[in-house]
Amino acid sequence: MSTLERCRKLWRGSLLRLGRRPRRFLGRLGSAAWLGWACLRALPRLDRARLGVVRQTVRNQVRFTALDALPLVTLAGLLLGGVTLLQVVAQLKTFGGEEYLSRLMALLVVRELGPLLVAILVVGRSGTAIAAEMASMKLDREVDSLYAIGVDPITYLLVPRILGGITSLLALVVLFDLVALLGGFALASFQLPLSLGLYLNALGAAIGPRELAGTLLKSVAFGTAIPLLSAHSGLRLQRSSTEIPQAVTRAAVESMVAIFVLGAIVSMVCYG
Amino acid sequence: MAEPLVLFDEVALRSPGGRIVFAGASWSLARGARVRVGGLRGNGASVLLRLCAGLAHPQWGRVVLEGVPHDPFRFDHPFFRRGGVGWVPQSGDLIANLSLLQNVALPLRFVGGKSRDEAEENALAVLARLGMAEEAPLRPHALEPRHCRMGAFARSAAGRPELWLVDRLFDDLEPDRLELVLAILDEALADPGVTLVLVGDGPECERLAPSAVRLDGGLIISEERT
Repeated sequence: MSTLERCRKLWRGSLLRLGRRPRRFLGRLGSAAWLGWACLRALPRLDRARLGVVRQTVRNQVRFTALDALPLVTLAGLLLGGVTLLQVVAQLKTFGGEEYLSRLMALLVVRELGPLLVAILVVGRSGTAIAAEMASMKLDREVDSLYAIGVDPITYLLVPRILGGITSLLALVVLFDLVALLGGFALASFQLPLSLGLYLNALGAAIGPRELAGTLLKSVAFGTAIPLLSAHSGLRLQRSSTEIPQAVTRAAVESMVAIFVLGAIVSMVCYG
Repeated sequence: MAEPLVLFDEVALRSPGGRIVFAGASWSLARGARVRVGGLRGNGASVLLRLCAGLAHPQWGRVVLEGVPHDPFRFDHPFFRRGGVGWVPQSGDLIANLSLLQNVALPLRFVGGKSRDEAEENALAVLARLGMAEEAPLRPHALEPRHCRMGAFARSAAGRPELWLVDRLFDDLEPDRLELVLAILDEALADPGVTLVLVGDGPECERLAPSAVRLDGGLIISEERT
């Protein structure tokens, strides 16, 4: 082989390697989008009997994702609210702007931190669990079995997890915001002389329809993205149980990236 | 000539390890046929069932079920949607987080449109006929592998399928339970429109499925009627 041919082969190889990662990324994005579209198409086909089966799974998902996570979310909200309030007050005091406390808290907690932190907790608790469950179902051929007996795996496995995810996220974000704003105030009042009446009044004025719409949109976006991407990672498992930890890690990373991107988009649309 | 229920059209498939399982195999199965796929384990008989069920897809050629080809990108075959297949895999493949009763009742609710109580009543009746009423509340991990297989059989029997795909169901089954399984299968096969593809050997298989095929060099070869 001549030097020229060798160089040409090397060049072609490098180009192919360069394109491999974007190709793989686009392939994964495409198949996740296809799965999302299939879920959307499955919704109108839910008749009364199927709705009964799906409702049962939604209930289980909400119990696991929302109810079982209540202590963790409450603790996180309380600590985050308290610490944020202390930090904000300390900064505002330096230029005498304590009256902006409620407004800043509303902006920070309701608009950004609440949905984001709840979503991260849900990824850690439920997203990984969904990925592991789907992966082991795929490996044990339970998904195949569902298809063969006429039970559409998308309607039976994915749709209820997404519906459960949206419901849970919305409930947890509302709880988190309440605990962070009120519990945080209670914690911070041990250290600082704060008036609850003034704080609540200003908070009421700061939280408007835009904040509510933003919370709702983020809950729907995150509640859809986390179960969908987690299930997608689990269902892409090929043939070995050693792939399960990889699927779980991938589910967590992809869900986090999706949360940051979707969060930024919703914030720009609602508050930009 | 009537349209075949299952049609293999120049099907070629390699195993993940690269072994040739099917090499341009063409085969058709008429509605109402009862076919036995014999031979040693690992000869590709289970893959044949999976191809029929649309759970494996050929790398070349196509598998057509009731005139509609299996599509690897759509979980939406009309034959499956109406619960036409009775799928009894070797390992049962029951849903791990459902009890045996819920497993059997699931297609009755989802495909048959029955209410939960009605579906579970029917499921329990089938399990009772198989002598498995006591195991009904157990989850698959608490069942013996052969009983998981019987659970899958019960799940199919409850739905009255048009096409049975049965993989080594009778292996190491207790004699009394084997009798119960055979009684239900005989009853199902009394309908001349019901089709059976059975993987396995032994007198029970020969009685239920007099026609036999074998897999040889990646092709499906029909054998003489026994």
